[in-house]
Amino acid sequence: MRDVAVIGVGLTKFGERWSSGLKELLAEAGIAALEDANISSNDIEMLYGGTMASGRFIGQEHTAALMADQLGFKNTPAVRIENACASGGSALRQAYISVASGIHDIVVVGGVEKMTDVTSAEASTALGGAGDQEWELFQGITFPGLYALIAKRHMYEYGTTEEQLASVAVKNHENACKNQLAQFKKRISIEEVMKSKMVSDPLKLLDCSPISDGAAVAVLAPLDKARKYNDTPIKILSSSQASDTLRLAERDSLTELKATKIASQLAYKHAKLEPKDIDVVEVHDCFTIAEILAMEDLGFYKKGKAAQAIFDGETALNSKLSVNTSGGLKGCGHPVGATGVKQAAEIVWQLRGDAKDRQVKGAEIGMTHNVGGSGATAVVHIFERAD
Amino acid sequence: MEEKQFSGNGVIHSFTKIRVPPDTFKEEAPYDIGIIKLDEGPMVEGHILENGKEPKIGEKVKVAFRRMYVEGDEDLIYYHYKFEML
Repeated sequence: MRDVAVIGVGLTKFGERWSSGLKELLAEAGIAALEDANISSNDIEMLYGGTMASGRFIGQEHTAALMADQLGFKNTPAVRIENACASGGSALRQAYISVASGIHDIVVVGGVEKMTDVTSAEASTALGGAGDQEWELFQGITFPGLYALIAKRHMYEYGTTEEQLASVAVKNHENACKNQLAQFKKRISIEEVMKSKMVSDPLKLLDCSPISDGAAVAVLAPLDKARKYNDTPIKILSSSQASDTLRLAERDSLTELKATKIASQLAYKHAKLEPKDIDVVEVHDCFTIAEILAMEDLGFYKKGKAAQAIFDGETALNSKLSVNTSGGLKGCGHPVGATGVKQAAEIVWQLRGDAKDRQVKGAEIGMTHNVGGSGATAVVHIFERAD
Repeated sequence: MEEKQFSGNGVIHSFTKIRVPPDTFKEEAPYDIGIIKLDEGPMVEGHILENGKEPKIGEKVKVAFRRMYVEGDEDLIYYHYKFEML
């Protein structure tokens, strides 16, 4: 196994991009990433593309070949990875494996989703496909519904409050205000979250990540060749993934995501690190309760202790642990296929010291955490500055 | 494989009220959903019928066969189990 580094990243602005189609979004992120890596499209040997539901959203399948085509790669092999909201993170892991194995040198990983061309009911149905169609979606159980079931049980077992849930959204919007590419550059208060429309009790509109358009692209290379392209390559210390039951009701516990626990424990083991070694982390906050679970299941807090810590500001920018400096899924936006790659881009910028107003001081080790569905897939990566 | 008959009795393990439904449930919203811990052990998700009561964790429910939703121009009716509060 070879050491692998990220040598370039590129991102579109996330949001309601009504004047940009899938192809424009891909070109915008792809050109930025190739320029960042100082690399020509002729050098790309393989592409992995993460997209969840482009067929449902805009009638376009075969999106990996489309990415290669749009980025000007000539006859480059391209494979689409569909792993619900963890499509991007899963694609990154496949790219990592193909470089680490020695099969390919320069590999591009892309993630994209164009979600705002359909009504919210259609989007809700498309995203519902990430759960169990026969048991959950057939009965009208939506994604906010599944995470609401988790939240209610977490509140019952640990005394978690709706104000503590709201504080996750408040923090992530605060971070998003410092990110030029974020969907919501708008501060919100706990009171505004509490007064927003109820979607699925106890989750309100401002507890939920938005419907977004966007794309993210990263370029990977073997570490020993990375400096040819980039003075500050970011080494991938570990790449781990786990799965769990698609159905929420079949799990032993509703208040933890076992896939996150297993993937992160493997990631720490391979990187020879512990939670206290992480300086900055992008976690999968598709709903506010999801960030609370993530902070517990990734080992940063004991079960039942994360909600109060977040409420107290321990995970704000440059506090005890900086969490979701990009604004997270809540503030930066959540074009599902792009999210896992965008998380990696944010960590790369943080470790290079390029994160501007939202820079975490002295960040050397970062982590990404990407979840599919209600936790049936979890992907964890740990990164280190390698200059 | 051995077939096993469940009593249909259980308690609410968690619950929510869905107010923004997928298209098929437009006419039904808002509706209560629960994860029910059956007396025999396994958990199963389903609609909760309030019967004039507020759903709470730990409250007893019993399975019932009910209409789920109506679809299309020919009014095709889908049926499913639901859980009635006792």
